[in-house]
Parts: sequence; structure tokens; C-alpha cells
Amino acid sequence: MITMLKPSPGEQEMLWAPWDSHHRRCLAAAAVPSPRGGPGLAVWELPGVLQRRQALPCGEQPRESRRPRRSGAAKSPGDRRSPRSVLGTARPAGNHPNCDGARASPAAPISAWQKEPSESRSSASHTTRAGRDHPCGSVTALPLAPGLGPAQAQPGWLFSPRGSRLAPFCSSRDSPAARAPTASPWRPRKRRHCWRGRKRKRRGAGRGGMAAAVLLLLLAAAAGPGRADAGRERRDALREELLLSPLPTGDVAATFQFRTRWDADLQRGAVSHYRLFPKALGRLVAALGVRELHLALTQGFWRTRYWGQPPLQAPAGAELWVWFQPTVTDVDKAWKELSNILSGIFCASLNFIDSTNTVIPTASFKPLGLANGTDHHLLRYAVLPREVVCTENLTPWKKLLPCGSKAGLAVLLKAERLFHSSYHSQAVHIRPICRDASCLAVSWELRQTLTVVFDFFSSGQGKKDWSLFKMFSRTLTDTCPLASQSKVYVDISPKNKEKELLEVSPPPTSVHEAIVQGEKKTYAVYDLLSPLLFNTSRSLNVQLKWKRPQDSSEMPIPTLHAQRYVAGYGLQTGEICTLIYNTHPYRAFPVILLETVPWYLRLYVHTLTIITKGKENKPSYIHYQPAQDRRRPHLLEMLIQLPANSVTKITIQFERALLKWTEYPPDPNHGFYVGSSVLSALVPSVTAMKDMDVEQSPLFASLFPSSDGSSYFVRLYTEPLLVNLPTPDFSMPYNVICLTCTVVAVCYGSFYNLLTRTFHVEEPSRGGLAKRLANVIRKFRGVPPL
Amino acid sequence: MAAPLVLVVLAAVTVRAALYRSSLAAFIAERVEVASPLNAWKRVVEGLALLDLGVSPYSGAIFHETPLIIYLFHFLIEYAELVFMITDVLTAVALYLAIQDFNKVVFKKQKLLIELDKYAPDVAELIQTPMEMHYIPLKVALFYLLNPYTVMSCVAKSTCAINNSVIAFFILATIKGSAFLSAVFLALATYQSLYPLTLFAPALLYLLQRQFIPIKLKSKSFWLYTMQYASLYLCSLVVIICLSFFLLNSWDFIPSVYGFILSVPDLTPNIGLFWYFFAEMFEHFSLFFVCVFQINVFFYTIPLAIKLKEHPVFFMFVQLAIISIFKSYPTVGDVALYIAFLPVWSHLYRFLRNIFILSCVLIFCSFLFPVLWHLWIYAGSANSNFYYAITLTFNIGQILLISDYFYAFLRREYYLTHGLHLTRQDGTEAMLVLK
Repeated sequence: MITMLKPSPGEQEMLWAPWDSHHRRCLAAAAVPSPRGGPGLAVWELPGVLQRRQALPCGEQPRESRRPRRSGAAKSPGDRRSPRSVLGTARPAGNHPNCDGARASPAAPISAWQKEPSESRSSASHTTRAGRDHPCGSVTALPLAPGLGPAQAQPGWLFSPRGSRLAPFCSSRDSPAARAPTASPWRPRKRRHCWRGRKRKRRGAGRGGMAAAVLLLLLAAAAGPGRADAGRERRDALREELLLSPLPTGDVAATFQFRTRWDADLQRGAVSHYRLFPKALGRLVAALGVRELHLALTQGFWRTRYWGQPPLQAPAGAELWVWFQPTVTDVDKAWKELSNILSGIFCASLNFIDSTNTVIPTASFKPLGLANGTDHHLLRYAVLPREVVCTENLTPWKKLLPCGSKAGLAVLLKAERLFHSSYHSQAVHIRPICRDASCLAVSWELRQTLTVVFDFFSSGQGKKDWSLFKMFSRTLTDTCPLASQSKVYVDISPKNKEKELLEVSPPPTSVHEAIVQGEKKTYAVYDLLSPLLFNTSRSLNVQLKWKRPQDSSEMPIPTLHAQRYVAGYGLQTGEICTLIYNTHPYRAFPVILLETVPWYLRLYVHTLTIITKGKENKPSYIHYQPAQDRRRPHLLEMLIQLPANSVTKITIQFERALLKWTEYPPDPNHGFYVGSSVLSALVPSVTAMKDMDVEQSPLFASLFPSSDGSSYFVRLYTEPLLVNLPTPDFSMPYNVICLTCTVVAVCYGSFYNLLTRTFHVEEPSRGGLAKRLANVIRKFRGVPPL
Repeated sequence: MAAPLVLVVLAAVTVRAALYRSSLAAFIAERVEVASPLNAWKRVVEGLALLDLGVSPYSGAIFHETPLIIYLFHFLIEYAELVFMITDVLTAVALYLAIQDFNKVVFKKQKLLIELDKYAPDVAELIQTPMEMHYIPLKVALFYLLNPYTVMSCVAKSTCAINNSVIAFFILATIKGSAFLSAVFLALATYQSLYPLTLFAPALLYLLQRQFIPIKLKSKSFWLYTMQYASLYLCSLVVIICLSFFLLNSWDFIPSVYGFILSVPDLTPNIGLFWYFFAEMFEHFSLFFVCVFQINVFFYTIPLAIKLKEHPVFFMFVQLAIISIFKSYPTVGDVALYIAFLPVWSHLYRFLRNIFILSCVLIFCSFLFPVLWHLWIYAGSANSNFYYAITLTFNIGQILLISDYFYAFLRREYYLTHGLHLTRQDGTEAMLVLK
């Protein structure tokens, strides 16, 4: 199946290694299920200090023991260390985007924890509303607690990172009997188990210690709102962000991201209490053994050539790719089930995903989260290019947000505006990430992203000015009380070296500079949680005005962009042409091209030509899986080296099949869609990138990993194709059956005649009735008979 | 006698070589009438490309050739044009030799029957004279080599030419009386395209006749010889299939070649009856009708064997025609094979009822195929029904042509035994009717 012609070491790395070095480090410490099915940890590359900490006895304990494992875990030597020192020693794991918990510096953990005031806030006061997925309404009365300073750090929460890290290992054995109602329904029962050991320790002073604890609690409450429960471990957090970026053509792209992070291990299946994380998705992940799930529903096409690299690309239509756990035995069954369930959750036609449009890419899609290996048989990828995305897909997507569309940035998501746009893409990404720098436990991350591009240039009489209200016909009024971060970023990077041409109002809370996808960007940041912002006015309506009309002559061309079309005429054969542009002035880089073509376009791989600068460019790796009629699509994956400043033309011929009349869609002459091909590349950056603070820069830098400073990961989708096939006459089935059967009958009849009869001399007969009648008449008339 | 054959071969090779060098070659190779999914050259190349990529050629739905063909062209891909020209020439020579031998047999038999006074007295004008028979082998070679169907098939490098060649060698071996070679070539032909299986019956009949074994179900020697021939055939088939297995080390080719032939999943238009019928068929009747249509090839064999047990070569001709009409992916190359036999039956000409109309139908259809294809696929001014109509007409033409020859053959046989000038009881001239 796989041909490895002669990839260079770098290319081999691109093919077989995870995209980046940090990633690999995370892999090393990823949590894997122990052979006995119990939870366990495998650490095999980490320094000794972490090795010691792996000795978690949960997995070793006998099954019948309902005792919480936490007590055992607490005894492990590492646990006695202060979290700060633990995190400090674990620093080698780096500040990798995938190890999201792993913040950059020793001080970083603290600041990171401090950034989430709201979770402590919200968990403090919920007492009765158990079992609700949508906690939004219950927390509106809570006071805002922005800016928990370092001084407010409580001794209690210092324990929490570790506590939370260990929690899932204890929770896995949570017995149903233990799920008695507790004082705080927001605190899952399993956590109580985990905490029992600690509590027992605290209670060591004696029963009278209870009073002291209450006192402590009161003191803590007095120190400031929201800190009452600061001693609790952090469980889940929501961060919402909106990035507004004016595009070179005058359009405006708005990208929302809602990121829910949950320090629980969904896979163990013992999680029954959901707070911010949507229960529907959480249970799906647990039940079907999903390791990673990426679903994107897109209407329109992102014009990379004119709009630049999008923060998150998606192909037109629906795209779903899922990594399953190695424990899943029948991946195809799980995949089928998953697509059907997702179809129900998102009201999309994902149930049309079947073997004819599912492929198993070998190199293009690697796990974006924590992963133990890249055995691609656990991966499934499907695109439905025909899928039309509309309100019915948006509503269920919004319902997954903790605040729904009632508060926070989601207020802006008004369907009638979102779908009155040039491009709309909504996505859901679920992946496991490292809980902290040591990466001994898994957290689950749900990212819901939505990108929309508004065309103001044509609708705004040539003016490119925009405001939130003009785009969404709403303004931001309040924040989602469940969000621990809520920020609006406006891309105000100067397009050329001249002085700034644009003006944003109101004045931003801060200005942030970062390098995103190889470009230096300047962002105006509005922190919605900052009290300053809503002081002056009740609502936030970000506006951008161009000081003078921007001369759009000079449009930056992205380093990597591609174009695809169908060549040829007639309905018999055709040719798929893909043009890949590398506009980097001096660096060549490899790109992985993934082409999925439905079986009814019969590809001829021997006609594949790759031409760069007039010369044949031999791909260093080809994986080709030919289609099977009505069962499997074609899959072509290639690693192609793109020389600097070049256009690479890839052509492959196909033949159009005639289908059975029932296999055509109701509008057969509209044509058949061929999904976008996928380009994955590590693009060398023109600007040198520093190791930037991932937390500060908006959004997306963290979903796709960046390997080092010199290159960044890009995934591009080309245009979907619309191909016409020859059609039979749909009104003809009966006629055709009759006519063809007549021909067969003619053959049968004549052969039957010749085979069964013999020649005879014709004997004179007395004639039929008519002849006899005629003769009677003739007799009367007196003429001789016949 | 050899000189005219060499001339014909030279002419044929020149025509083919010229066409290979012309721009028509690409056009002809794309024609659906010439290249079916089963034998298109493009697919052979694709199979080799897949093999080079390390992918099993049978893992996809493109390649349906047998493993022996892959290995043949694995070594000969550079000389493909030469291979196809040689194949055609070999086919023609084999047919030439076979018919030459057959003519001798016919002549001897005729002489014997006249001597035995089996013929009616007034049939002198029906007797084939050596004069007439002299040029028949050459005409057969000419009909095969310079038939536009064969030329196009060769220029398109359709592997149908190889099947034809195997069948021609099988006929040669049979007529020469070599049971072993006949069985081997029949096994090869069956292995290549399955349907030549039905040629087992005429070959057996011919060999029995040659061995002077009476065809009686109670005769022991009949059964002995039949078992002998059948086991030879089956053994060679098993050997060939096992050889293919060892070449690729998998059985994937069985479903991909024979399953593909029998279940007709690829509905690419061709000159046959299957494609549009199954494109328009209701899904739940599909299997039933696949069986009904496939059975047509095998269905006529036994009745024909009974009716034509004295004339196995004519039986072979009729069976070849039936195969080319009712096979699931027919091409003009298959038609060319049985058309090459028409000169052998030139003595039936006087009994053919509508040869003129039928030849016009076949010729006009051949011209209309590309025209209507263009109208449907490229111009968009016609639809699939147009092309379908022409395939129907073409097949009706073929069916009527074959049944006409069959009729003429039976009629001539009747005249030979009953006399040419039939009279009624009352002495007037009688009409001959089928009853």
C-alpha cells in the first residue's frame, strides 16, 4: 500500500513523527490504560523526578476494593511536594500548546490558575441545582471577581493542581453506591472520594477541627468574593475569545473560539456529572472510545489567496475526523455509530458518512492532542462536500456553550447575520491534553470555533469601516459569568510599513503583539472581564475606521496556497489539476497532499504527473488506495517537495462512470461533488518567530502545534469540485427492460425455432376458416374456388 | 499459397503500424466500443502502475485482467505494440491453418458421403468444390487481419486480441486433433474470459468425430474420451489458476476477474446489452436479471450440441457469436473473431434470407456508434437512449445474422439429403417450411 521512494530524514519526520517536538514530549508521558483495563500511567522518557511520581497505586488495587485510591495516591512521594516545586521540576515538558496546562515559567502556573476566577466563583454557591447541563441561569447573580492577584493565592488551592490531576484515577472506580447526594451537587461524588484522604489529614487535629475549618472558610470568604472556594481544585474552565481581522480584500473575518477545558478523564466512563462540558459530547467520547474528534461544518470557501491564512481552515461542507482509542476493537462500527450520533446532535447529514466516503489517511492527519502513537488504523476521515450548513446546525452548536447564546460573546451569534456572509464555518474539536506540565494526567478540551467572513466592501458602498453592530446587529453587553476569560482581539497590524491607517474605538484595554502563522500581528485586546471596559458604557461596540482609503494594490500573498480545478470536456474522461504555490522567496518545504476522490470518478494513477518549473517532481512518498465500486473511495496521499518560489502542477486523469439510475441524486445534472483535497505543511516563516506566550496570543496558535521558531503548521483545503457524470434517461426503466428483453427474446425465439423444428415440404392444406368461407361464396358466384 | 498470406500479413502490419503512429491511436483507444473495462489497455497500464506502487492491482475496481496478463506485460510493456501486432498475425495464421485443415476434412467427408450415396442425386451444385475451398483459408485470414474491428482493437491495444489468439490456437489444436493442446488452450481461454467454457462442447464433439467414436450416451468409449478430455481441461485450468495464485500469492484475482465478469458492476457503455439494462434496473430485481442475462451464453450450448453434433465447427462458430452477443463486456474485437469465420460458410450464401439488410445494419451501426456517442457525451444534444438504441440495433443485427446462417446451414443440410428440387405429392414444386 505504501511506497516510500526516498524521503529525506526531514521528510520522514514529517510523515511519521508527530508534527512537533513538544508533542513528542507529551506523548512520552501520556496516560495509557493499563492492560487490565484499570487506569495507569506510563512514563517512559521523563526525568527521574517524574518517574517517581508515576507510582499511582489506583490501577494496582484489586477490583473489589471500593476504597478511594486517593489515599494511596496521597502517599506517593511526589504528592507531598508543593505544587510549585513539582511544576518547577517538570518544566522540561515545555510550554507546549498541546500540553496546555504546562505554562511557560515556574511562575506561570500560578498566574495561570489565577486567570480563572470564575470557576471558583461559580462552584462556590451552587448548592441545589444538581444534574443540569446548563448552569448559566443559576450563576447570574454572582459578583464579578476579576483580577485575583497573586496575593490572594490561598494555601488551599496550592494543592489543587495535583489533586485535580489525580482525581480521575480515583474516580474511575467510583461505585454507584458511593454516589449519595452530597452537599454540593456541583462537586461530583467521585471527587469527594478523592478528597477524603486529604480531609482526613486535615481532620487529624480532631473533630473540633471542623470549627477551625469553618473559620478558615469564613476568613477566606472575607478576603474577597469568589475566593471562598478557592481551595477547591480547578475542574473545568471556559475561555471565550473573538478575533476580528480585516482581510486584505476589505472583508472582515470574525472568529469565535469557546474553549472548555475539563480536568476529568472522560475515557474512564465514570464521569456522570457535567458542568461546563456538554454532556452529549462527553458521553459520546466515553462510550465510543473517541480519542480525538474534529467536526467542521462550513458554508462557502475560504479564499486563501486573497484572504490569507485563516486561523482555522475547513473544507466546504462537513468534515469529520476522529481518532479512536486503541481499545476500540471495531473501529468501523464505532465510526458509523459516531457519525450517526453526531448527525443527531448537530442536525447535519453526517449519517451519510459511510464506507464510500471514509478514508484512513496515513500521514495527513495526526492527533492534535495527547497521543500515544499514530497508528492510523484508528483514524477515520470523511468529508461531505455537498452538505449545506445553516441555522439548524448553528442552534445545536450554540446549545453546547455553557452560556448558550444568552451571555458573553455568543450573544453575537445571530443566525440571520451569520448566514448573510461570504463564509461561515463552525467547528467542534475535542481532544485530550496534558493537564499540567508534568503531563501525568489527561484533561479534555472542547473547542468550539466559528469563523464568519462579512463582505463590507460591496455592501458598505465601498467603505471598509465596520463595527460589531454592523456585523452582528448586536453589541456586547455582558460577559458569560462562567467564562474565566473573555476577550475580543482586533487585528490592527499595519499592512505596510507606513503609519497606521486605521483607528479602533473604544480604546482597547491593551495592545498585544504576536507572531501568528509567520506574520507579525498587532492586536487590540478588549478584556471583557476587566471592570474598566463596561464602566463608561453599558455595551461594547468595537468599531474600526480607516483613516484614508487603503490602497489595495499591494496584497500580501500567503506563502502556501493552492488551487484546484477539473480540466477536460465531455462526460467520458477528465483531469483533476491542482496548483500549489510556494511563494517563499528562498526556502523549499515539503507538503503532504491528500486527495479523496469518490469511486465513480475512476482515477488512473499512472497518469499522475507532478510538474514544478517545467521538470518532473517525483514525490518522495505515495500512498494510493484505489477505489472499489460502491464501497470505497480513492485515496491518494503524497509528500511533495515544493521548491522556493514555484508553482507545482499536479494532474491526474479520471474516467466518469455511469451509475445505476437509483444512485443519482434527485438533481443528477447538477453534478457530483468531490471533496477538497488537503494540504498539510510545515511552512517556513518569513519572519523569525520567537517562542511566544501561547496563552496571550489569541486563540488558535494553540490548536495546531508549531515545531520551532522557523516554521509553522498550515493545513489548507482546496476548492471542492463539481463534476458532471453521464446520466441514463430516468424515465426509461420500463422501456429499457422491455426493449432489451425483446432483443433477448428475438434471439431465443429464432434459435428455439431452428433448434426444435425441422424442415418439411409444405403440404397443401385445406385452408383456414376464412378460405373455406371464401370458397363457399365463390361457389355461389360460380367462380373457381381458391 | 503462402505468398498471398504473407502479403496479407504485411498489409495488416503496415496498416497497424501506420495507425499506431497516427493521432487516431489515442482516439481509438478511448472508444468504448473497442475497449471495455475488462480489456482496456489503459487499465492494464494502471494495473502495472499499481503493482509498481506496491498496491495489489486487484484491490481497486480498475484492473480486471488475469495475473498472467500482468506478468506478460510486466516484461513486454515496452514492446506492447509489437506484441499486439504479433498476436493478431498469430491469430490469423492459426485460423488459416485451422481452416485449411478443416477444408480437407470437409472435402474428405463429402467424398465419403457421395461415395456412400448419402446425398440426393441432384445436389451437385451444393457440393463444395476444391476450387471454391482453395481460397477460403486465405479469406479467413484476410477477414480477420483487415477487418476494421480487428484493426481498431489492435490499435487500441485491447487485450481482447490476446483472448482471440488463444481461442484461435484452441481451434487450431482441436482441428488438428490434439486433445491435449486443445484442452490447454481452452483452459487458457476460459481463464482469460470465462465464457469460452462453452466451447468445450464443440471441441469435444469434433475430437470424438475425429477419433471415430460414436456419440452415444450408452457407449463406453464416448464417456471414456469425454472424461479424458474433461480431466485434461480441468487439470490445465487448475494448473493455470494455481500458477496465477503463486504469481501474486493471493486469490484476489478470482472475484476481481470472474466476479467482475459475472456480476457486471461496471456500467460503462459498450456495444452489449448489459450496461443500460442494469443501469435502469430496479435494485431488487438486479440479481435475478444478472442471472437471466448471464445464462444466455450457456443456455444454447446443449441444444446446439444436440442439433449440430455432426457439425462441431459450425457449432463453434455459432457459440462464438453467442458469446460475443451475450457476454457482459463485449467489444468489436469479439465480433471480429466470429466474422472471420464467415468465408468458411460462403457456400451457404444462396440460402441466406436477408444478408444484405443485415450487413447494412451492422455497417451503419458501426458508423453510428461514434456519432451518437459524440452527441450524447460531448455535444450534449442527445441522451443515453440514442446510444442505447444503436446497441440494440447492432445486437439485433448480430442475432439475425447468426440465426440466418444457422437457418441456411440447416436448410442446406436438408437439401443435401432430400434433393434440391423438392416436389409435392401432386408433382408441383414444393416450398420448404420449418415445422
